Amino acid sequence: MKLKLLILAVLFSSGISVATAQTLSQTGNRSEISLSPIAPQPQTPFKASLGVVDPGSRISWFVGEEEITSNQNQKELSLVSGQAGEKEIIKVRVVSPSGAVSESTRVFTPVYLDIIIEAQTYVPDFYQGRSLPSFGSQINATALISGVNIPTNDLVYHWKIGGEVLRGGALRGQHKMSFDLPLGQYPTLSLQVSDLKGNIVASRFISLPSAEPEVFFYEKSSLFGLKLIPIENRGTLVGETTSIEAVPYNLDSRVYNNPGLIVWKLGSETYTDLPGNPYEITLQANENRGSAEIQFHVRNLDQLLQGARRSIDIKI
Amino acid sequence: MKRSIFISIASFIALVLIAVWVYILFFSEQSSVNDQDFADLNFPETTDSGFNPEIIEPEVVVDVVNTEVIRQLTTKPVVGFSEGINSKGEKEVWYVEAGTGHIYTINLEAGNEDRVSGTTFPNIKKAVLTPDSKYVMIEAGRGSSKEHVLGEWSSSTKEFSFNTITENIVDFTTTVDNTFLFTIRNGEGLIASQYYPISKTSEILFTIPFNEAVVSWGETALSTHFIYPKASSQLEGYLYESRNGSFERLPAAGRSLAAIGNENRVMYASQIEDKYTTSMLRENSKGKTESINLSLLINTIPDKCLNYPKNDSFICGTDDLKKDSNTPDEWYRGEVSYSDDIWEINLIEQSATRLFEVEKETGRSIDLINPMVGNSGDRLYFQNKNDRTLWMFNLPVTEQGTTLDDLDNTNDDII
Repeated sequence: MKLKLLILAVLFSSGISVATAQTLSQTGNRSEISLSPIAPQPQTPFKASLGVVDPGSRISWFVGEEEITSNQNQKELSLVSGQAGEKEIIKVRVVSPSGAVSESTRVFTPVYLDIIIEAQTYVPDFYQGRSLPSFGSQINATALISGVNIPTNDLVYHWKIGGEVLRGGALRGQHKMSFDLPLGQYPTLSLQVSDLKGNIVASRFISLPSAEPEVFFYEKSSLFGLKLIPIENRGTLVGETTSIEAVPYNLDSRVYNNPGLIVWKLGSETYTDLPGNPYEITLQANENRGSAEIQFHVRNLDQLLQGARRSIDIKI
Repeated sequence: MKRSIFISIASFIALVLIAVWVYILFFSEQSSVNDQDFADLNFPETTDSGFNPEIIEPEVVVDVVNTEVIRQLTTKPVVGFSEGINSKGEKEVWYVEAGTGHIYTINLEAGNEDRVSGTTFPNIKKAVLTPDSKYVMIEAGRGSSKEHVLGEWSSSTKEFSFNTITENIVDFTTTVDNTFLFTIRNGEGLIASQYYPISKTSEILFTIPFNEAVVSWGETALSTHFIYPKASSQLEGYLYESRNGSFERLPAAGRSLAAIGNENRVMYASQIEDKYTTSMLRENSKGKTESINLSLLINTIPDKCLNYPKNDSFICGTDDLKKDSNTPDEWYRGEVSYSDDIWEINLIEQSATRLFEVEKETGRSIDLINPMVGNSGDRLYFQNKNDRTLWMFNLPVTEQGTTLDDLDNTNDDII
């Protein structure tokens, strides 16, 4: 008896499979809804589209329970996603010229996938902004996902930089990633987050800027510290002695702390291995006050793109 | 020459010399001679705990008689300030001098300036005084030598006593109820906490899962705080809020993102199509948060703004210069300086009122930073970034400003 029931069940289920396949084959409709982007962020435009549809089919789109009549008989639907964490239901009904009806529903929840870039490059204390990555510098990336009720440790993160998979592939709970910025103007960092069943929860890619380190000169007071306006924007320096600090913005912190080459040049005189802070020089005015060219050069000799040089005319 | 004539001349000369000597001995102004010989080097004070502020002669440095609505309070750079009321009920400003960390008060009614702390903090970077001026938190030093110090004012001894804080503080501010809010690193990110200076205890408020964060603090620990990665014109920023310990994403993102807000409204700046643009968040009739572009009304850097609860508005320093896609990086580096006017922005009415045209009225170019409204809400204090001097502006009675409706562009601006 049990065996008979099992055989019947197998036959019945395979019959359904065949019937479904025949229906699709007869109508030619592939009414699955695909989204672009695959996982829309909240309150952003996205497109829902259909696959193959028999010519002459009647197409009706629904968002929730409401029919979008303006998009009747169109294979694409442009929408703006809702708020983070709010479930969205998109439904499409396709009636082929022969009268066969097929329906498809796509349910998704818009979630924010933020990727916060923290470059390990140098900026001075008073600089209120974020430092930028420069070639070869280390980047710490943090992914923050909002609008999904799955703990971070139950999400799988798949990081790629410029096509190279980081840390060998998908990593559970790894919402932080460190890597060195590769060569290129705007290397792409991409991240796909999925649940433990493999369903994509969110995906995102961002272009990373690759800044060239840049030197600015600031006057330094032993009492008040650095002045907040660079020397080139300030005109003549006053006083018999003036201390100047060269600030190499966006230089790899490792290079800043241990530079292979660091050279000051004042007029035709070159100074290396200055005592104390190598980024600082003190100028003593003599009776001949006037203009002088001052140059600063810092570089990693093992990685020549990690460096900066600048010269300016100063008036004392 | 006859001998008698020679003796007479010699006697006369001797008498003259004796007279001169007597005059110098008894009638000359010895002190002025000394003044020329020994210049007043005006050395900064040391950490001598015996320092007695009472011996300092009060010196009128602020013209409190004139009725100008804007006044420069200091000629020296400052790193922190607050408004207080002294024992006679007179308004005074407390400020911490850059370079030394000495603390001064300016009596806004008499104009006296007094030094109330002579303890020196080399390389002082930032100081925050509580609104009651009883406590001060100081950040001094640089790199590995950076330290934070808490000062407590004693009304009996009339001096501050200082103690070093052992925690690795990243950022700090004060609240209207005289506590401190601060962030510390915890490896993965930052922890925001509240410190009660009276009980010398602290409690954790919320955590931030990244390090390079700016916290736009609310008025109290229980207020809403806004958090975003430090602004950069080339890196994407995202806005979060924290209420009662939560950490929620708000629908605002973009390059150059920076924000300021209160319990009801958020004003933020970001790049939209490569233009530095000011926008606001508000709740629409369906209860959903929406963003409204304010670029036709105002274009300001949120770092130059403060929450003005008295009028449920924001007060900002901003100028008419177009801000481009390099904003605010160039301003942070000091490459670009603004000549700001003082504006009040009301996000409920979507109006902006120019309260004062600073350069036109004073002839001075002021790049406004660190705005703060006094306890009574009628005075705005701020610093000029160019020299870090302290200024004061008398806030006027609110007037009707220009609104987006006036500009007839409302529909175009709603995104």
